[in-house]
Amino acid sequence: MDKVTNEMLMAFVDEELDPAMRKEVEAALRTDPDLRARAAVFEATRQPIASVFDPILNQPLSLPQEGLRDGTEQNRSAVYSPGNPHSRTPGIISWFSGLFQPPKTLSVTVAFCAVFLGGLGLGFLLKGGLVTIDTPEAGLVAFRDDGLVAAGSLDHTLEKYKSGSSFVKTVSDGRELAVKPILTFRDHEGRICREYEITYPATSRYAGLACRTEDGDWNVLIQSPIKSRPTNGKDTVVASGRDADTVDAVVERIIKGDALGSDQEALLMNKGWRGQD
Amino acid sequence: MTEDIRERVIAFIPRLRRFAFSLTGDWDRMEELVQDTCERALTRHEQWKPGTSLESWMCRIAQNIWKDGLKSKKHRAQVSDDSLHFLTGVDGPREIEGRLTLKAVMAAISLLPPDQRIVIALVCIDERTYAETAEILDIPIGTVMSRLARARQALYAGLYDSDTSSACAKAEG
Repeated sequence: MDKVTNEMLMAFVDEELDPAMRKEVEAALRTDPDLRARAAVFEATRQPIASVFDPILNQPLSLPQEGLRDGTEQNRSAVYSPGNPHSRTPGIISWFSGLFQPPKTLSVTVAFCAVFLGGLGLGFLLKGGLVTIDTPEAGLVAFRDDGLVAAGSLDHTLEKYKSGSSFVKTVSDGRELAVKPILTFRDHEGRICREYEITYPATSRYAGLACRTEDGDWNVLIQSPIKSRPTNGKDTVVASGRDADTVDAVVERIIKGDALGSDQEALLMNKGWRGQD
Repeated sequence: MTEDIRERVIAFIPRLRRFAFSLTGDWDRMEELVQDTCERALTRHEQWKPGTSLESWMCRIAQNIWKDGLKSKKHRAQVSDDSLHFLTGVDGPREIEGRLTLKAVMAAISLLPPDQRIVIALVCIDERTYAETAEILDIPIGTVMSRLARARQALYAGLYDSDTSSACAKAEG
């Protein structure tokens, strides 16, 4: 082969050469260290580059917006809400919202997680139930094939902290993240469920509900922002379109009997959330 | 609109986000680009030709929106720790390592001309073939190859031959 161009080397690395040309380049590479050095440039800029972006594939499908964290008027106007002429892209939201159905029963693995938040409050769908997650820190809720489960600080807190006590940590941006279980109860299927609050940053609060599976995961049923100040009532829209589908409403629908007392809760926690109360 | 198109658009969103992030380098701008892309795809779905790749068509839309946005700086790549920290959900050295590596890569990518950045995003990150990339960008395959080769040499230099490389090499070491 007279001359192996950079394009040929790159195509060799990318497995885009036809077999005959591939053989020729391969032979040239065996005998020419300079060629190998040039090929290394293309090796280093393929798989290693791709791999650093792969975690994005597994990220929850929505994250909080700075505007809502800061509560600025500019960003408030970007939130989609019916009747607000400044709200963002009703087209896509209404298109997707046709797919958003509140769960008929909460026994489905993925129920729904509220809500449209911020200018990017685009809802996305996963497997038969609405899933728009707003978590203040990646890793709090993770996707699994069979639904959403608590992860990281959220899983740790649900597993180890009694109701009313908070787990607090400083996250990467220097701000504090707090997770606090609110109450613990059994649902009609006998599962242990815990309502919780997440605060991050100090001005933004989220409420959530998760039930423990037989595998020891905390299956997140719903998670939504808590309005912390009076608003015109239009800055947050529950994706299902039903305001009643708040965390409290879901708790009321699935709770069997009363919430567990602190002694019962402590007993169950000590037993790894297994067995009877 | 058929159910099939809905399913395919939704199924493609994770990959579209990865592609969009490699262009914008910023989580919020990535979400905005994905939303704009989905909106345009859904409102103009009749422009998609059945039998061709819906995903490639969406990539074409995304890169067009992104390039248009560059004129108004809307989607210009910005690399910030604030956006990158969302990508690492674990504590400890692995989180730091991941963040530094991604930051170094995005910093190097953001220095490339837009046309080179797009071919990097399509081939190296979204793992498109040269032929698919040529189709998405509506340019000859030879142009894709020459543009991509130049982009990867520049990217390599940005990552390993400059100050940026020390952070990257340190993180990988």
